[in-house]
Amino acid sequence: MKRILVLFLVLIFITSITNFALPAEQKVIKLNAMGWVQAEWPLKELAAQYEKLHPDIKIVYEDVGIDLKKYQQLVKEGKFEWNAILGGWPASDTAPGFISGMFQPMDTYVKKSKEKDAPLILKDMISSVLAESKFRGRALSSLPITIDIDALLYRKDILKAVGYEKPPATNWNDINTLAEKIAGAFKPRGIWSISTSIIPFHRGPAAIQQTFTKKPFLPNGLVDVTGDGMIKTMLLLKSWIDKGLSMPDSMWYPFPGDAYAEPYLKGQYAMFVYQHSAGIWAYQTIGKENSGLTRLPKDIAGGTVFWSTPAYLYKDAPYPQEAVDFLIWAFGPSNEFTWKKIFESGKLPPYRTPYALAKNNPDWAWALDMLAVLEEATPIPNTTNFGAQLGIIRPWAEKYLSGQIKDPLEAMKGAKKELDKQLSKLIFK
Amino acid sequence: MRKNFNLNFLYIVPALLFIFVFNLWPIIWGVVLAFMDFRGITLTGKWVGLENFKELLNDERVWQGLSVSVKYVLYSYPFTQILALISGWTIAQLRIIKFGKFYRILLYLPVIIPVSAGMTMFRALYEQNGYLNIMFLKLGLPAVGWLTDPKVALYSLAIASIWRNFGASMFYYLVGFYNVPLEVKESALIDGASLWRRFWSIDLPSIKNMLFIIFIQSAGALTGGLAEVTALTGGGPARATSILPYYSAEISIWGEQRLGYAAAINLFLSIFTLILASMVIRLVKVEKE
Repeated sequence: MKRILVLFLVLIFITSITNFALPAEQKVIKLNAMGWVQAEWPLKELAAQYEKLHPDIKIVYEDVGIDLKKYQQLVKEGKFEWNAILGGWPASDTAPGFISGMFQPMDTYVKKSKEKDAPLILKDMISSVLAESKFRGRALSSLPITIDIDALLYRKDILKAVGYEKPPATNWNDINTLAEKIAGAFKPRGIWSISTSIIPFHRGPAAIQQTFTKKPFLPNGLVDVTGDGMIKTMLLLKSWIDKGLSMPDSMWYPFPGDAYAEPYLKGQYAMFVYQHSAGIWAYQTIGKENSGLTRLPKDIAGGTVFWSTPAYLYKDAPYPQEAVDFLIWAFGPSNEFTWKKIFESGKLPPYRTPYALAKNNPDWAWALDMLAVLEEATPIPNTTNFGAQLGIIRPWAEKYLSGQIKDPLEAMKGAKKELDKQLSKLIFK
Repeated sequence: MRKNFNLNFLYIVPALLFIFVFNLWPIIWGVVLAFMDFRGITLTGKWVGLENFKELLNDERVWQGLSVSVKYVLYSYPFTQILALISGWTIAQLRIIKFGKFYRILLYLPVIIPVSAGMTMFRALYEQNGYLNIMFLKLGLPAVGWLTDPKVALYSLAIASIWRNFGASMFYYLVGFYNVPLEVKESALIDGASLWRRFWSIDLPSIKNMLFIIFIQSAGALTGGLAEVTALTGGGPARATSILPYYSAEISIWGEQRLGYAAAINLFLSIFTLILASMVIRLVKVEKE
């Protein structure tokens, strides 16, 4: 009897110990991560590190392509499982996401978060990036993860051959002088001096516009196409064509997908205005030692176009606080592991602190140039019409640059008229 | 007997359902949408009657798109048919000789190759440093902006469209030519009829009805070309290749995604096409009589 009693007590002891040692129910935090961010960000490593620190959390990334209809249906059926979407573009995704009721603001969750970086999120964020991340200047609509910025890509070897270390950061006249020197020496060898692509309008003309004006946008969020900044931009681009510095028609060649910097990547240009990361992609084609990138010249206003790739929080997220906690831990200003990986991938951090890493690494020195110009850039307003604008402005710019319309103001007035007509049809203003 | 009839009817129910879901329902929904201000951004809409149609009649882009569409059909469709007719006839002659099957497969390949793959090949041809310009430069001719010169881009697109579509039409003609009795052809050969005489007096009359159908189909070609434009030019340069279906696609993707207005544009294009087709049918009838 005694033995049975002892055995019974031992069993109770063992089971209670095991029960105590069993982990609490694991929360599965599902994140809808677009394919290309899964390739660029160190997501798997971050999840593994976080799960070690928080055994009750499991981070799962999926690329599920949820549109509004699917979202509404899944919520209605009680089957919506995702917390945040990683990827997107504030200029075109923030307004539709909030108008349709798919996303929710993140302010409250950032404030409530116990992660050590939580108080730094708003303080350390670069002011222009913070402005971009607030829908209509109020709520924190997205958490920026990485930044892309329009820059001046250049061939170090060609510039060196004409006596320059890097393009001057002063003004476009100085850049044009350099471009003409390059044309004299290299055009006979089939290398053109300078160009951009106007088809992704924000990666070329809109960036140059911000070097000429501090007010590139109208109060309604539209690009100020008839303003002084855009007219000067059009005149500059046309002068490149007329002086033979740009390959005929290459400015509006419809390269597929993301290949608009292809002429530069192929080594056909000495300088090219484009998304900064193309300067890193060029390491593969023209060599790390030959490809450089720097800020657009300051000229009058010193700006450029930039955009963040952020995380948005779904309105019906099952674990909103836990998802935001993870994002703050993973992409907070002090996570050196993340930012080293991000610099390596050729992207930029949205916070000031991580740029200290670039100061100590000559390979990332370009990032410091970008930080300076990022502080001065004006964010693209979050509206429902950004994509439409680009589609409308481009053909008018093509009409001017191809010589069908002689006066840039006349061409841009044509674009403005069409933009106003488009805007009058919008409901959600 | 009656019971059997009911059971037999059940056999066609899956097909009817398929037709309703994939053919009829999209048409009905498209027509309903055309009378609504439906925004894709919120998936909500309201009935606006004829407002969309009033707007499109005053929309310059609609008329410009229609004009580009008409030009695109004029530049591509007749040549597609001529090429299809010639190749169909040539292959039909090969039936008597050899290799008919080989050429039939070869010429039909562009139809089954995915558009994206086919257009990638045309990009390699049309690029500024592409094969065509390399050839031109070697011949001492100036390089051409195949996709960047507003005066040239639509022709470049038409050539790509001809390449992609002529194989399908060729099969119609081929079937027609195959139906010409072999004895008739052989008698003509024995009588010493020339190649041209055999084509003009024997083969062509035998596919007259087929030609009428192809002629009627020409109106329908107005609704095509979207894949080629999207893959090659994106409607540019300076909207020189912005056909009407491309504009309606832009409207449904842009900004608040005005699906109602885009549907109205497509309905307008369909009605225009129907009117054109009925005119062609009338012409064909007169010709037949």
